[in-house]
Amino acid sequence: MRALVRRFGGRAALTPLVVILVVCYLGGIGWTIGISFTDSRMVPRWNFDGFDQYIRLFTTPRWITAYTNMFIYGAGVILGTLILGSLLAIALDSRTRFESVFRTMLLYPLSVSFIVTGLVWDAILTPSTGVESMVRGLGWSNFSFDWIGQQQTAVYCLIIAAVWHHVGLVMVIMLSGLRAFDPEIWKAAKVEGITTARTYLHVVLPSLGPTIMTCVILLAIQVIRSYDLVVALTGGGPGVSSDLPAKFVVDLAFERGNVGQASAAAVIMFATVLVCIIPYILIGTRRSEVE
Amino acid sequence: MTSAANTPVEQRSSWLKYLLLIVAALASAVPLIVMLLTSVKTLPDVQSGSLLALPHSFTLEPWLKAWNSACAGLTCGGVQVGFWNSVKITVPGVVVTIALGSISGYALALWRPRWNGLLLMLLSLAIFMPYQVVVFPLVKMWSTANIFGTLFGVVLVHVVFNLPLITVLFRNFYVAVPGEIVKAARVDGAGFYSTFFEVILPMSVAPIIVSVILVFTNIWNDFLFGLIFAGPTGRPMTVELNNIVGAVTGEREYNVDMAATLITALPPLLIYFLSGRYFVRGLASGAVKG
Amino acid sequence: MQKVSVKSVRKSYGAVDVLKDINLDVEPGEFVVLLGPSGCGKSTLLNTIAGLDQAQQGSITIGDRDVTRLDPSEREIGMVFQSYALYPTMTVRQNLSFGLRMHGTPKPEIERRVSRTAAMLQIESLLARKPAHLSGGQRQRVAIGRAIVRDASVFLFDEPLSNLDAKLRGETRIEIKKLHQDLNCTILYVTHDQIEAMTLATRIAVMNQGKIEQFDTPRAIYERPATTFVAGFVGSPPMNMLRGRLLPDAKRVQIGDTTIDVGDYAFSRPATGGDVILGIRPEDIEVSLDQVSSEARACKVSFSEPTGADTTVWFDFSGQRVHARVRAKLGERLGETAYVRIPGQQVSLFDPSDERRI
Repeated sequence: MRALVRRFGGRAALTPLVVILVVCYLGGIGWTIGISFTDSRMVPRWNFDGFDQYIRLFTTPRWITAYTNMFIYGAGVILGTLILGSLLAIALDSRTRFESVFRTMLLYPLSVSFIVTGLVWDAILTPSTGVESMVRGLGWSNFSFDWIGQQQTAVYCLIIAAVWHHVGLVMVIMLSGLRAFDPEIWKAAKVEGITTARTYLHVVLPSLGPTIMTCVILLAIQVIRSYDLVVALTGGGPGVSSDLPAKFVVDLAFERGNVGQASAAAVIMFATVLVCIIPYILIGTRRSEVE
Repeated sequence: MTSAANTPVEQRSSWLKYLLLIVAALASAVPLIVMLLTSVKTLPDVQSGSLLALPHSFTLEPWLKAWNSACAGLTCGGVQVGFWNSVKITVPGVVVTIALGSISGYALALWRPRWNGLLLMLLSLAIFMPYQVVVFPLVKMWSTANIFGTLFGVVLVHVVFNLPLITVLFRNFYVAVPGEIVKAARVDGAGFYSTFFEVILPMSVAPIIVSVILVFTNIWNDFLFGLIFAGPTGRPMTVELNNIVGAVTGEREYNVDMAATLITALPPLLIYFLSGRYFVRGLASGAVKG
Repeated sequence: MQKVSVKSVRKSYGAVDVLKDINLDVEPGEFVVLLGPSGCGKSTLLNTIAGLDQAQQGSITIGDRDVTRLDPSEREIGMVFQSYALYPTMTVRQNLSFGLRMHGTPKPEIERRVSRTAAMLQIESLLARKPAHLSGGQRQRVAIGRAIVRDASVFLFDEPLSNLDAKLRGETRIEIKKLHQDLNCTILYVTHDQIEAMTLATRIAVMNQGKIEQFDTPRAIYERPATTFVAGFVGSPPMNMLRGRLLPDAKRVQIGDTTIDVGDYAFSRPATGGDVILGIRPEDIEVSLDQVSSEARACKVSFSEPTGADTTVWFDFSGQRVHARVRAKLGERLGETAYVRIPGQQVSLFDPSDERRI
């Protein structure tokens, strides 16, 4: 009995994990890829259709909007959080008083649901209840801030809410990267008379490449996955102007009864994620070779 | 590690630094403040006043209404039902995920099975994968197994999607445990499970705390799986909340909406404020998912 | 106490042979040290004897039981690890009783053994503490106690002194030696430190690249090393290795323009002359200021390293570099040259082709 446990104990313990990985993940991905090549509508069926779904996908206006939105949204979120997050991390880096208070205030958005984030920013950005009415109430009666109601600018509202939600994450990651930075270099810079700002800009930040990379990857994954936020903040609208791929997939699969096309869209999402991670893995392996 | 703020130039930038931090902290707090303020105003107060105005008359009515009788479509039961559903989903989800994740991480770290490398690669893939890629096949599998729309089904879904990250978290922690402790346990006659429960688990307080925070937050805040897998009576709070706020029957009661939103946000927020650095550690090990 | 027999054990990790045909017979009550550099396989051999690693071929016997396929806990061994490996969340008492609990030993018996072991090692006052609150030396003793409490017949030590500072190392060495005498047990001890080996062992197994090069008493290993590896590994400063030629009469070795008389050398096989490696320990070389014997030759002094009581002096001996150990007082008085004699009775001769002793 003991010998059995010794031989198989480890493997038995791992069985649930392996089953989940193989059945749910590998199986699921395989199924989705497979179905994306069929003409399934509401019910999945295995009539192979070649690349039709993909062709149809990229001629569907809603998908084009959603996919391009993803890049706009992604760029906005990544740039916004990186710049703000880095500035905040730099501010916190130098033995600031009340550091933990600031950190607590800046990090709490990460603990709430995207639904909460979406709903509250909806209230803030909707003209009748939010910023516009507040500013008008202060006297500027011509002030207008209706990004959320306009097709061109609805996406920017997503960016604002997402940056608010994620800036703490970037700040924490950048801060730990800064803190790992060799203090001796600071002394060397001081001896040479370089100002703090320039040291940060020209010496510290460039060497934080991997840390920045980590932030970008994590944010990119979040961006690609974004569903809850869209549902709560704009509902994808007005119309479909602030749609994102994740919402597109779910809507098409469950509400519109078009499993084949939803799967094709999902495969594109998956491919996009892979494109983001692969450089990360490559950099990781290259670094360990150098070491 | 810093340049001491001595020279006038650096004093000035120190002032700038605090300004930036204070502005950012306030900006970060604004939504929370808005929620709090709005949730204690009467409806006329909300409609006539502005976002950040203080309430003319303080009232807790919206909170009661949100909890008990807010309407979402046809049902008017408040977020109460959703709250208890969320609890019923989250607690087992956390327990099962951590139970499986800890022992799997231990097996991977200290009893290295043969396909270790392959498993780790699969785990990384699983962590990064967007849910939408497999959500439909999973629905099919769950209905085939007759667990679609059940509490068990939705808890299982959460386990499936949180297990990879938690396994990796525990694995990384256990890799740092000296292998000689496991050897000593073997010499002492402890097998795989005895070593885990008697030696390793007592050492695992930190990763357990971090995991509880991470998984609780993920499951409680989840929307997509609650929406799809939970069945009509089992909907978690986030789904109920969205339904209540989105309901277009009559006039929008913003104060009730905000109260409901706050109630939904409260549990993970409380955990966050109470757990401090453990939350940060959780972030570092893989980002709170949305 | 039990004897330990290792027969024809082979072990490889993938393409690398870590243990190549190991044969080792340890008599009951012996203190055998496995000595060698990093990577020689000594820890692997110990782990295989313990049952933590499996040998691909061969057998391991403890007493008269074949334990090759048995779990470590069934081999009646006690093991002390380099990092002590104490269970960090358990008290000393719990650490000591863990193995007995796993075995299902009744509680009163556990109590008795723990108290007895704690008394023997003088750690009674520490029983309620956790490892984090113990000093290095105290942890060491608890680690040893964990092995003792199991009433094992064979004790395995895996580099137990490496983590201690020099002073503590010396003290603990003495304690381990005393333990061996008090418990009358068989001990297998792994180390890379030859001083530990020389002071503690009844016999030393010198290992190199998965093979045992020599298994003998410390004295024999020091005075009659079986290979050039053993000769160079044991002894500090290391043995001098000179290239020379054994003359056909097998009574003299020619090094450069000097001849050394090896008439009394105990050849292990008939020697016919040819290239040899001549080994001579630094302390056996005779150095003098004047020519005190006909065999002493004038050599140029390269440099000298005073080390307190002795000085190591480097010479150019007939074209090859040689270092000798002399008393400090003599070392001070040496000038540019000195007279060096290599006494033929103290040398070791090795065959250059297989590096084995002739």
